[in-house]
Amino acid sequence: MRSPADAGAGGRVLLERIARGLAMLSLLWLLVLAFRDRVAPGRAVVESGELPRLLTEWSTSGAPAAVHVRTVGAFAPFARDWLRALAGAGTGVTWEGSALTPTALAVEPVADPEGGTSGWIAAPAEVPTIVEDAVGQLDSIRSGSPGARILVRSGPDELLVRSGSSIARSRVADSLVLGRLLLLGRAGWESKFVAAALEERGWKIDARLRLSPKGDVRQGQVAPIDTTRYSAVLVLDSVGPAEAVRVAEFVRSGGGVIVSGPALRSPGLGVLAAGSPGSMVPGREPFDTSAAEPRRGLELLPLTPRADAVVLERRERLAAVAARRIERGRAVTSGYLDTWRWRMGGSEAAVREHRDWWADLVAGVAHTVRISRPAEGFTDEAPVATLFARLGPSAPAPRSRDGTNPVSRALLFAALMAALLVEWTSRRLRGVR
Amino acid sequence: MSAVTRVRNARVALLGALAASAFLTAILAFGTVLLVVALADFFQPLPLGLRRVAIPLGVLLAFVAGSLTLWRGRGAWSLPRVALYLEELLPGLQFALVTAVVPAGRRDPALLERAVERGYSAGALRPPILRALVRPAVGLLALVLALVALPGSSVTRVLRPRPGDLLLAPRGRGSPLDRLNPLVVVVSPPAYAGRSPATLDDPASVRALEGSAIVVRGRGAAIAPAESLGLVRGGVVAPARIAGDTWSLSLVMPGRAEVVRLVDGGRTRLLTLEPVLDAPPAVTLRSPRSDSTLARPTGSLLLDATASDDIGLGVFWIELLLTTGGGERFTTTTRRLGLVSPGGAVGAAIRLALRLDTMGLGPGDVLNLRAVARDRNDVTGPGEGSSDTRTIRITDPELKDAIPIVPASAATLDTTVLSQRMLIIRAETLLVRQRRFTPDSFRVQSQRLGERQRMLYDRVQALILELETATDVGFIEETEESKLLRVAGLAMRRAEDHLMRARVSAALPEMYQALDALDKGRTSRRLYLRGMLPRIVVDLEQVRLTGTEKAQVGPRSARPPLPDARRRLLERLERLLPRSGRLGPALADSLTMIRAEALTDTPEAAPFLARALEALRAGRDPGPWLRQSRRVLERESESEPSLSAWRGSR
Amino acid sequence: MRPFTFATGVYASGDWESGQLVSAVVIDSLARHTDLEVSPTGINVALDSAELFEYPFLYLTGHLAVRFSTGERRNLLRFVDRGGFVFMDDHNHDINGVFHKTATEELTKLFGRLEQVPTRHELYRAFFTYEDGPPATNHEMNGWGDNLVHEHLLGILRDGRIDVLYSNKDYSSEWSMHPESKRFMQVDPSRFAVNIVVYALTR
Repeated sequence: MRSPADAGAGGRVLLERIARGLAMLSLLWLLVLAFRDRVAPGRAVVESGELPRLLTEWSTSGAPAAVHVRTVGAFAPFARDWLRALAGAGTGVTWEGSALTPTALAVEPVADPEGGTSGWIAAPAEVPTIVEDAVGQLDSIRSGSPGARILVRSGPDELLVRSGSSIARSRVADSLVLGRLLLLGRAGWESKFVAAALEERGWKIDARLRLSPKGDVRQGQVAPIDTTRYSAVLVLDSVGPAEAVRVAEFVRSGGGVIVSGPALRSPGLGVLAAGSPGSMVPGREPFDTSAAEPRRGLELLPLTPRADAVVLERRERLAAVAARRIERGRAVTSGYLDTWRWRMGGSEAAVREHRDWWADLVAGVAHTVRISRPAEGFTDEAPVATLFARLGPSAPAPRSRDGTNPVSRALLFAALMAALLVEWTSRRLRGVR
Repeated sequence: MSAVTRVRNARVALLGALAASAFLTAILAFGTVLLVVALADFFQPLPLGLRRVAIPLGVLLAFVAGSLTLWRGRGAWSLPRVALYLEELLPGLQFALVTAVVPAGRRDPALLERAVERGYSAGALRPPILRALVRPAVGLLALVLALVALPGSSVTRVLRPRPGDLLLAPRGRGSPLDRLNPLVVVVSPPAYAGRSPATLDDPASVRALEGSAIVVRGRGAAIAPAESLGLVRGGVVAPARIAGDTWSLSLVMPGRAEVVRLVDGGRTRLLTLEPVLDAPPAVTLRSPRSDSTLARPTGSLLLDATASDDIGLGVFWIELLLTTGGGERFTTTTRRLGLVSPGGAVGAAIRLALRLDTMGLGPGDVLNLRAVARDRNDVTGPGEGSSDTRTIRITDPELKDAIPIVPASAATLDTTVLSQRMLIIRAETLLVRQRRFTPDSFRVQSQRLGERQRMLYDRVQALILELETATDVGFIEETEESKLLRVAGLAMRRAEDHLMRARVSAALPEMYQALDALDKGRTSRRLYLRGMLPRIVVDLEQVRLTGTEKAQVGPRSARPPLPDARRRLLERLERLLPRSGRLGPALADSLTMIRAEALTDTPEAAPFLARALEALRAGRDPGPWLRQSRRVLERESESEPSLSAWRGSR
Repeated sequence: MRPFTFATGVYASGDWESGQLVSAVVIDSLARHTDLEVSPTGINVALDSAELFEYPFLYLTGHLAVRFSTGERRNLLRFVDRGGFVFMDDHNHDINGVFHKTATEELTKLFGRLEQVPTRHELYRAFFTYEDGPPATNHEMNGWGDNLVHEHLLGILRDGRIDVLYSNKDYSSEWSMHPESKRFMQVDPSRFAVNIVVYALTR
């Protein structure tokens, strides 16, 4: 006789069989999907770390029809270029990336007889950025907005910037041929020490220093003021109208000019100045020997900058040094008076700092002749931008070819587990193992 | 012969053999140590320190070996043990000997004697004694043969190790013809230094007192013609002197670091000369402490001076310059007081009293006193050092407004005024920026200023002391200036108190008051001097360009660029750096030259370059040390966290 | 712009103030012959003070022993190293005298050997032309001092440029007068000072 339990068992057994069957089907389907992903005809999905090995393989043994690269951070440049070449040969290349740090670097030589290299860096502000040359680390900086600038006085040919996962690399492409400087002013301490600083730096100077109706102090030939001879003119005191016109013409044709101190009040030079001088502001007494702000001890004619001027230096809120372009040339205006007091009375490094400061002002305006250098080595000045340019924008991995929308793997897995659970529960409740 | 006597005789024989064996074993152990060290030295020349240990170690091992041998044979002291041993050797005795020797129970002596007589043989001990002696003897023979087989120089280096015996070391397998390796350098300091010569084994650089005689010695003069051996210095080649198989070159330590080249045909070896310069003596005049002006030349002046030198003092005295006269006519006499000859001692002192009333001083006379010492350097010197000068003036009542002045403290007062101004600026700045600080950090900053204020206060107190009790001659009462300084000091104390409690706004008025009093004190001394100071103001407008003489203003000649030794060295270093991992030993010569220049021009980089050279010679990567050198030499890069619209040279 | 100020150095050991009239005479000459902005009075500045560096031209003189203190030496070394110019004159005009012996000893210890300034040096053409080198003074042969004509000035030269100028010719006596007295003279006796100052201001 069949027991009541046996009587109901038939339905239960059927349910169990159905559940089991469902579980098997789900499992099978998941397997098929996995195979499809793996063996989707002609598509490789790789991580960027595998590229060095795979690229060689693909180039020698045949590349897949399509490649999708996943990367955290930027690719190595050779991999990027290689993929570009593969794409050109017919392989479909797509990529998706995360943690890409957009970085860019440009370097230039400094117009200074002692050389030097300037680097302009674009990198996200919150990412620490390391600057290196061929030998090792030079500095670590945090970019402000919109970027950062570095001046390396030893003048390396190449700079490298690491920012997050990106590495940008740039080389100095030109050599500079420097002309002479022309110094116009009065005989006095300022002209003496400015000339001394620049000559110590290696600049060759012609000078005309007003002294007396009986004669002026001259050096070299105060020849026609043009860019074939001079890189820049420094005007430290008032000049006559004719001379002011010649200097203005020189600047318009590409030369540089620095107008400083009492020259600011010279009527003929107003057209060149980057700002108009105000009333003199005394310096801090006693002379501040603190290295952080050595020029606070100097008297200052604060500048009201012109609309097209860039303020290069401030003292508290007053513009002390400003610059502007004048047609093809450049002009810097400095309101500091008697900068020689800094050299004489400043800190231990004052002589060198005074020299550096004047040399930097001159470098900012100097007309130079550029000579291209033969390209050597490898540059990658904007790695992320180049990646986008070569391989297109980042995109997720494309779907499989037949276009079906497979049942979500998660749902399938859930169905599998539910079916197994039902089957097991039912058997246990029946008392069957 | 009784059994006991036989056993006693046997014991003597055994003890004798034991002693001989122990002796031979000890000798063998000693010799083995020497042989091992000599062998090791033969294959790879050992340092002097290690070779010096060989003999003591050998003695120690000999002692241990001999003691062990004696210990193992200690049984030979005991008659019963000897008897037992004989029983073993002569089984026929059937323990009759032992029974005869060991008193125990009832025995029949006659029976025992007969049994011993029958079974004993005196020759039984011969084989074991021979064995005990032959083994160490054979070992010793082998040792001797091995030592004889080794080159005598190796053995000498072990038996008599001494500096400079490197030239006795066996030649390396790879380069028997390399006469520039190894080298021995004997450095003899100049005689005045009183130091013994030193011998350096195979140095890459020689550091010694300037003027030291240096003799570089090598071997192999007999291998090949010696004409190719020489020393290149400043483009001049000095040939080597030959004595048998040894060659030598002599030079003198220069005053500046230099690299000299030893040459032998196509081979070159660099040697860096690092001079140690003899510093001049350091001299201090402790008394009198400051200048002074006396109304009358009475009393005595204590003169107290000390001198010290790095090598040795030659002579030390106090110089007195007495100038008399006036207008345009002055006469000066010079005297040396308290002259001592320290005879090479590194320190000396002079202390004496100068009776002013015996010197014939008159109004307007000036005494200049300073201590002077010379060292014994007869190579570049003698080096002379002197103390600060103290000036003692006798007032001249004929001069108007003659008031005592102490010019040295005038300068101190100037500095104090400047420092007080700086302090005020910092306090004002701190007050302005107060909101940027947490209360704790504001207090810390304020207290730092308080400490500085305290230092200034101490300085002012010292000035007051100088003015009021300045000399050992007499007491000068409170002066106008010292009164003002006292006011300044009190204000400084109040300011300090406020600053230590972070009450900067309350401190500032006190600091201003202190500055005001200091300024007045400074001004007060500007108004007087010996005689009236004329103050002529030139009427520039009246005079301007009234000169009629002809002028011909000459041109200005250019100033040359500054030589930058640091930059030059840096450029040379940067050329080497990328290749440092690859070039290895070839880099050593370039680095040696750079280091020698750095010793003079940029000494802070020299230690790192030395470490790089050591690493290179030891086969390690010199890169990290070279990068350190670069960091020391190069100037820091300058960065700004923003991009200006002004791009400089473009 | 700060005018040229004639600074006389105050040092502790001797009679630094013996040439107090010199400043006015030199200022007078500068105004007579040039357009230079000049302060109408001179200033005395202590050698061991921070103020020294505000006056890159320094005049030193005296009759008595010159023994610089540690602070004075340190400042002088720094002063010249940074580009300051020192003009030192022996008010005794006596090469056997205590000023010359001690001053030259101090200068040699600080800066190295004193050299003769060549007759063709730029200094002698800096404003007025002196073909034969430094002009003689009336005091050199006045029976006092060493009674010699000192043909050369001495100096500390770097690459031919004078950093420290030393004189035995007693310009301090020659120029110790009231400037008003010049109106009685045909030739300005302190013209050479113009060369010295112009040289210091422009080289």
